[in-house]
Amino acid sequence: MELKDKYIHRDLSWLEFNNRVLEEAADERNPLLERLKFVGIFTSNLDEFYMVRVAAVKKLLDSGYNRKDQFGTVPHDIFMEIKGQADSLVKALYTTYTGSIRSTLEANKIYLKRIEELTEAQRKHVKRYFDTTLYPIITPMAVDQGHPFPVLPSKTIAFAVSIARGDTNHLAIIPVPKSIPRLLKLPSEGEEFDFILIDDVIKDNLKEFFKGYKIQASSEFRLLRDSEIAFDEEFAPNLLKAMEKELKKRTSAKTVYVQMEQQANEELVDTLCKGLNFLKEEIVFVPSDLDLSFFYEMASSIDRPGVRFGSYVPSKIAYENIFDKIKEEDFIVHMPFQSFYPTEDLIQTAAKDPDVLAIKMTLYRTNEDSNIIKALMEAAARRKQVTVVVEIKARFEEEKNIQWARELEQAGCHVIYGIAGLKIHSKMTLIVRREEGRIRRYVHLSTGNYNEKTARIYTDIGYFTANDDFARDVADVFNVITGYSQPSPWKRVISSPYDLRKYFFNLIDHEIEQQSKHKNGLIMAKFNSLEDVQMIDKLYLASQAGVKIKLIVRGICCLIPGVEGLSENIEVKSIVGQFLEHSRIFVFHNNGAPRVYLSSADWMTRNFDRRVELLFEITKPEIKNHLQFILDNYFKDSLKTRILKKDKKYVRLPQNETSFGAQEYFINHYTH
Amino acid sequence: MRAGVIDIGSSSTKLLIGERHGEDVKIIESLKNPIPLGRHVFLKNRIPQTIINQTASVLQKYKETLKEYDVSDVTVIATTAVREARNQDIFLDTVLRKTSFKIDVLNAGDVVYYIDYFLSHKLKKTYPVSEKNLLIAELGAGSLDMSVMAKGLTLMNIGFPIGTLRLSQFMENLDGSMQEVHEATEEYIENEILFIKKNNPGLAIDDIILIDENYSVFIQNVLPNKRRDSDFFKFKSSEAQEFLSRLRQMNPEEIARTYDIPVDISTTIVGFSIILNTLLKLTKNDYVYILEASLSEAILANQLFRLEASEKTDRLSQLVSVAHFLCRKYGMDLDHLKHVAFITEQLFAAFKDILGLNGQDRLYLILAAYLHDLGMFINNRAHHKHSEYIISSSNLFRLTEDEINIIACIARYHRRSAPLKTHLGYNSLSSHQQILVQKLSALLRIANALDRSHKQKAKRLEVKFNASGDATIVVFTQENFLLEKVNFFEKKEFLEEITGNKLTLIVKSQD
Repeated sequence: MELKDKYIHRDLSWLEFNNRVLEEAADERNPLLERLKFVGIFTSNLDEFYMVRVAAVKKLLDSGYNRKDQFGTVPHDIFMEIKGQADSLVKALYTTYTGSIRSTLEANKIYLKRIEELTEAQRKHVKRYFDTTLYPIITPMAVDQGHPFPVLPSKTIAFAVSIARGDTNHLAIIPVPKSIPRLLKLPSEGEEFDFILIDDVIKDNLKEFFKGYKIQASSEFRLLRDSEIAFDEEFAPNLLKAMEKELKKRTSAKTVYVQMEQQANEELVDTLCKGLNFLKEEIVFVPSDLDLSFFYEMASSIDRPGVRFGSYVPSKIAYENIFDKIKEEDFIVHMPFQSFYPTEDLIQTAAKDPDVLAIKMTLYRTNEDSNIIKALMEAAARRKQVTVVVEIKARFEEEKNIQWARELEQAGCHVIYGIAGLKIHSKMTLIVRREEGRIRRYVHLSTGNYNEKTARIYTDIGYFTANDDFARDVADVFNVITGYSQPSPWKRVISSPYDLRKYFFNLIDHEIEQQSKHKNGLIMAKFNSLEDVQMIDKLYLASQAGVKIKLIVRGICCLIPGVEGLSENIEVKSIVGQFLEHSRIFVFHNNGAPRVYLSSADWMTRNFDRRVELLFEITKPEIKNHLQFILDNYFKDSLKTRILKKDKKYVRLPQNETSFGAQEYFINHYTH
Repeated sequence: MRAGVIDIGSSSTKLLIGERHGEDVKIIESLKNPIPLGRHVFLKNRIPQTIINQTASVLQKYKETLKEYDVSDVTVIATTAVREARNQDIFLDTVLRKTSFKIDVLNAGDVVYYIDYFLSHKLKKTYPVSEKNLLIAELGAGSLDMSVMAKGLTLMNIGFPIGTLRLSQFMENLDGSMQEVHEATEEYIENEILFIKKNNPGLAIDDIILIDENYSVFIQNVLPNKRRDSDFFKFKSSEAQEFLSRLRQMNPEEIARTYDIPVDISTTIVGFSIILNTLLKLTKNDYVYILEASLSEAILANQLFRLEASEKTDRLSQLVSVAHFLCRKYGMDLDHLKHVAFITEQLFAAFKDILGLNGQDRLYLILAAYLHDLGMFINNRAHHKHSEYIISSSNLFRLTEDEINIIACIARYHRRSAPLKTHLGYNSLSSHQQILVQKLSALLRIANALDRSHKQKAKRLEVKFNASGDATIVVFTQENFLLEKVNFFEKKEFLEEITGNKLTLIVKSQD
């Protein structure tokens, strides 16, 4: 069998995922502002895809590498397929934007105005804004013999302007400033919301920057650069310094994407391609505004009922003292339907508690102004031993991470910057407390990050326990990460890159065995990406042995389900809805005595081989049943579910009044 | 109650933090960092600066962990590699300066001491340690430390330089086929271990217990049918042979791959297996017991339960049992020696304050009383000199080299001769120790004289002092005491010189 018939290429599968996001933007059943957010998500997703994946493929092309990858495709072919699929997605995006979204905006009296559509008052407002805010912070950059084409950072939007004085023509670049919002809210009457893009304001005032010159032509463009950080960590003893150095290099990395307005001036296009060292045929021309991520801003600045998903208050688990609660029984928190509060409270209480001796935690992506970081600093100030394993390599957040890592260090925390060559993706906390002269340890493990903001929009599951087997294992994992010890055999926790893949394989083998003995092999799992070829092959093997495999894979899925003789016992669904599906739950039927696991890991090669991830088994019957209940409801979903077919396409179930939405169900379930 | 142990071993450095939970030790933290001290010391006799710094840096990290658990009761020990390093002093000093940890460098006796005491505690409910004659072996990377215990008392302890790391180095240096290398290693190990049997033909051993923390956990990987119900289990001779025969067919890489064993273990597991099989040759049983435990655990248990004071016999009784063992081994007149020890105890009690002696000095004197005639085994003539070097070369349970030297010198001067500048052993002692040797040997001379006939005539003894400090020893006996009396007058001069007072003997019929 050809590899192409066996696997879906990961990049194409990713584009399929972004297509599902776009479907949500286009879906008129979704509230308007939520559709705008989906447009924003789609746009920033695609940017990241270009900066990372397309950049990687381009590097291979540039180096002349021409071997097939694990999915059976050579770089040139995949580049062309990506380009074709991505261009169609962008086309579909603009069709949605200029079509149903704009008309729905207008129907709701929300206008993105052009200069010529402004009222007199608005015109004055805009002029004042330009004079006082925009003009002082914009510096035009001349391009001539003495001034080479400027190095524009990734995600820059700018105008290329052709100016002339006498017989001499010049090129100048005017970047749209990133330090202020791109969307300007205009004074309006009644319930109307009027906005204008600052791009339009700048364009209208270009002549202000070039007094004494004649503007011959101008075109707006946007560029993305290769953002893949590549340095040999083995030879970078101080990861933090190495990272800072790499970030500085990022500004000058290779341009991987250029977007321009459709009516761009031909000559300017040629000049730009030369300046940016970019092929003209790869430029993406769009029929309207560049970079639609400004819809995030728009959605958050409109305060009007009926155009958002219904608001709800995440339910809170009742307890008086978090330590007593955990000691009383292990429990889980299902976010965002249940509040993230117990996690935050655990760290805050620990920081203040005189009996707490030490706090250890991993931080992968966290939010600005994080209560958890404040609590850690307070704990250090109270002379507790605070160890924070910071993963500064969390993509596109490196600069932010470096900043708060430094702050933690200054507060007296012991900050560890991960392991060379491995990303610390596991989310875990260990608290050491003195109770009646003895040590008692509390553990929190989660499928999601310690991020108070994403805890409101990502679905995740946090697990709290005072079981000392977990505590010992987690303490050991910390000791390995911090270089305090070599790994020792762990009882309750399975970790990558040591034995995670092998452990999953054993579980699958066991299910195959159960199938042959009892004809009831069943694997149910929900996670975000399935890309590891070894794992896919193992699942095919299980399917061929008759094991039923039911998967909910939100994002990339390189496995092709339902193919006779290969995967007819596998079904794959994807749920893209109001909340980003992020929890990872794995259930192995085990002849009626199910084994239930939670994990920070997806089934991607990087999760198995290049990250520190944790998998842990839940043994308490009530929690097992509850996780099975969660999983069952996800499989019941018919509102936001797409089914992956054997032709590699995702098909959405027909919608009607009885369609069941798992996310909506969970909101009600936990609050009532 | 919480305590920590840092063990600087030959191949790795470890930290154990534990807490007392009833009668058990609950391990809270267990850290291990491979640091190849032994690899350098066993080849070049020195610990390189980089390794010293690496050790200090790991200990710094351990310090942080100890803080996390609020542990202040910490014991830091080092074993074979540090003990044998020629630059041991520099190592200890650097670590002390950089970490403020003071390292206790254990000898084989210390290791065995901790292990023996730990066994009594650990196996309290499972195995009657104090009722058996046992051979206990603790296998480290640098050495195999063995002790013979008779009914709970340690008779002897020996450290063999055949730790697993050393063995793998030995095997690496052998130029031959895999089979030839294994055979040569077996011969080498046999030659070392079977020495115990050859040298102590009368030794009766009920059971052998091997303490191992690294290898036995992988037995099941090699022998899948072998069941281990707990961390203390029997390993049969047939199983040990099968274990070895499976391993010896493969190189370490194949062992690691085939049996899913970590590479650092797979390179040394054959040595472990050969030692196991050789130990079986020391017992009439067709099995050995394996206890999966470590020296660190033993020390931790000792810290948490203070076994020394509560559970076992005192140090003097332990050392007296070793002395008995040595006396029997060298064919001594044990009745005479016991009697001399009995008299020295009386004399010590009487002269203790006058001579400014303390309890520790009593221990030296009693041991010297038992061991002073060992040199007779070589020759009666100049036997005091032979005694000195036999004692100096003996491994006396947990006594330091200095202490052993003191005892050897007391025995050396139990006859007529006095210390001279040319006497190396004596001159290696500090001036305080030298005067101690003189005082104690003066007492030993008297005690020995009072049993000159080796017939234990003196049934009772009293020492009286008059107002000017002159002493009278009253011996109660019903036998002819003339020989002893003559000898007393010959030997009393030394003590008189030291005390500055007269010494008289009165013999009375036993009342």
